[in-house]
Amino acid sequence: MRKNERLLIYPYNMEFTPVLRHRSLLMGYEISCLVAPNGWGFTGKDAGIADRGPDIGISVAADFEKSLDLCDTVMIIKSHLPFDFDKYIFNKIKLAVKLKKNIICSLKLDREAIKEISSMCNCEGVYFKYFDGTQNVLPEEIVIDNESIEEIDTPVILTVGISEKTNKFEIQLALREKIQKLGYKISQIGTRSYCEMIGFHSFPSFMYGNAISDVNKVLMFNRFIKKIEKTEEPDIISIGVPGGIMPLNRKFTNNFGLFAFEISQAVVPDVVIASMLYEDYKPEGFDTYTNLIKYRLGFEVDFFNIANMQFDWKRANQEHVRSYTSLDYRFIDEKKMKYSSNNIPVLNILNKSDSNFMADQAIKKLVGYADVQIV
Amino acid sequence: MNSFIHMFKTPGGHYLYDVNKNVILRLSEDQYKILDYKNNDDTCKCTSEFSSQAIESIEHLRDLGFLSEKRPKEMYHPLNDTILSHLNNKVNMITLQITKQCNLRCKYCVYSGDYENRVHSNEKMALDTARKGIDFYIEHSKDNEYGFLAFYGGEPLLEFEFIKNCIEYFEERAEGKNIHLNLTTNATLLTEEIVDYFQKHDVHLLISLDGSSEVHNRNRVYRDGNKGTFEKVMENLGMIKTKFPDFLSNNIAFNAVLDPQNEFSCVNTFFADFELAKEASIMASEITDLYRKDTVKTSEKYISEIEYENFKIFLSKLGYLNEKYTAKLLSMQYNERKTRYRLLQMRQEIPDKIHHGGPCVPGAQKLFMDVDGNFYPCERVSEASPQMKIGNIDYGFDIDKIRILLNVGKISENKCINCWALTFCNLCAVAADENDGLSMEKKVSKCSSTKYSVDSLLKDICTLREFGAELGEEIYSFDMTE
Repeated sequence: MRKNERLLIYPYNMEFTPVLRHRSLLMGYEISCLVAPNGWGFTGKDAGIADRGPDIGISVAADFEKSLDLCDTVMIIKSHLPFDFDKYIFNKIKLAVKLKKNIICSLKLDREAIKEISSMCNCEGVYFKYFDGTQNVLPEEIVIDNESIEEIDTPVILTVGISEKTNKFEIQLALREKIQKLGYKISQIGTRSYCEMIGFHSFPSFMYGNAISDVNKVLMFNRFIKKIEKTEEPDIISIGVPGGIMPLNRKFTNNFGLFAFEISQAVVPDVVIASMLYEDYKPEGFDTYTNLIKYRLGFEVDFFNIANMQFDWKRANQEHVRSYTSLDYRFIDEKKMKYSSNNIPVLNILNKSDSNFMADQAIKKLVGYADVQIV
Repeated sequence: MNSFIHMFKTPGGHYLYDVNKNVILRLSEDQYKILDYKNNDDTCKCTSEFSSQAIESIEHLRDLGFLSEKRPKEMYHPLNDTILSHLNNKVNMITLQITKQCNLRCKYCVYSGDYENRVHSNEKMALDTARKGIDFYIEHSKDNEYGFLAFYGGEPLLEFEFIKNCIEYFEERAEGKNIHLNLTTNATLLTEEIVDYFQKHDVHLLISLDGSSEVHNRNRVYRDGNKGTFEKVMENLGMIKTKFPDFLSNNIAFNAVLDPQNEFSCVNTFFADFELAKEASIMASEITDLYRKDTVKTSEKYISEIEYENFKIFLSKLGYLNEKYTAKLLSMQYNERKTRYRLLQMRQEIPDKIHHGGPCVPGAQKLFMDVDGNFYPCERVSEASPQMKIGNIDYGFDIDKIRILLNVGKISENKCINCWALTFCNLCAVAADENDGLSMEKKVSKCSSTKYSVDSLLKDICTLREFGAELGEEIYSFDMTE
């Protein structure tokens, strides 16, 4: 049996915590150590501190050099806080390469840095894998003349966030793990650039940038899913939508929810999970969101999730910065109690019984479809 | 019950502030009079004196949702439920009181003996306490991209080696964050060695300088005798200008403590001509009344001069006066109007649970740690007040006390829920602090002056708007900047 590659994750932060919580999904890798800079306050603590969720059983180190002994490959990831590449990361990459460690990078780099790291890795005989969202399902230069949409016959589960930072990736991985355990074959498109390491597709790069018109993005995404359906023949397709579905206000616009709109035109989902930041919502407030999603994107919500994150309106108003306050996941458990009579379940994905409930109910709904056969 | 509104006039117009909607409406004179009569239960005059059209226009405002009588039901701070998360993850900064000793004996100083809360002493912080404080801060600011450490005294420069130790420890512990270092000083002890170190570590200094030699030396004198410190401060600033010119322009700000018994104009003239601080930021604060045994007296002349200078700033912002004729010391006045104007964001109605403006999140906003490792909401509060001691480096935050300070509106709830100025109120728990408990009477004794200030503020905003001031955010002009 081929031995898994041992990964050192740097700079470890909440962006990567969902992968740790579902690390059995990693394909050919295992996590050997997590390193975060001292100032982030994680040193010596369980990795669960990063997303304020339950403990994970791996602790976070601060000494990068010492931790290198324990890994084959260093994975450089994006961080939730601004983190200077030249000051903190580049030297660590150089050191790792010198010590014959492979480099995986999901952090966006400029061309110069990519070239330099590639060349260093070549010299030392190690590999450099850079995740830029490039997909190989469709040719990049596809021309679609026909403006009609292909019907997707496989049930689709769609995860959207009302705004950013709403634990969407945790939802996607929790569902994947559970659905696979139940014996179903799942094809998946996720909101991170390194989803291939977990056995599925990253959100395709053609959706970003201005090279392709919005109409063509919709059509290409539709064909992208259709192609995956045909080649992988899954029982379920799970799609995570990057970003948020709507502006928070005039200043924080979440790209006006354009991805969500484009995807909503490309596929018709069967199960929809809408995740939102924490606020002290009134129970009836969810009706507003249900209607908003229905009329903006055209589908009914099956589950709401409340993320253990709150937007920092004070900093937003005073300093014009996007900042969040992270909340202990058990706080969400307490707060969601008041929504127990809501028609649409309001859940906390970091609570194991909620994530099980979400997966079970989603499967139940989809299995119910199979009882009715339309010819 | 009456509409929850506040009515006011400027020389140019009639207005109401609708508390529920949180907006100011411009009214016609007739509309103003009708509402005035109605709010005074004089409805007979309304129907007899005014046209049906004017009365209908008021009804139209009601149809649009304005003039609601709704009051909030309780004072409950919106961050009350998530306070633990703020304290665990989002502590903004830590200020270390590294010594209670000072080489000066400023006559208005909070340590001077005129105040209930502090006296000078030889106490100083142990390095281990400072390190624990820094560790505590790092541990409790996980959501922040920056790390902010400030030094306070007494005079912190009496302990330069200690400061160096703290800075180097902080730089190591805060790795990965944007580091900000700040030190409040009287500037008499600055040497080349100190400034060189501060320049290398990008330390920002807030220097206390009250004005000309005559003004400054009146209050800011050495401990041993009555000699003023102005000449020494100037000598040190001269040294910085010669040897560290970048440090002078980038890292130094001045704070002038204004004595309201004096004239403002001589202080203003000094700073207008003050070559050494041409590019520096200059701010002014008045001698504080908080915890003072007597009250600070204010001269009529001082008030009229300040008001006149504010008026000139407004004229300048409206394009009627060159900025060079305005008081740099008061430049924040206009920005304060802008900040307050931005608070006027229309809403459906006032929530049932709300808290008046004023309280910060104690501990999370400006955590202050005294020489013994005790925590306080900021450096302004009384260290002699048990309710202000919100924790300790050894046992952490006292969450129950913090909740009481955060929800200080509870003690005057019946008044606050009916107060039109609650959104703009600036009273925090300090206003109620009697050193042996929080006093409702003490707090509400400040209500009339607070309401007067808010009324003036709203009038300023409306007057500025009448003359075309753009107080909102200029997103368009920002986009168009090349």
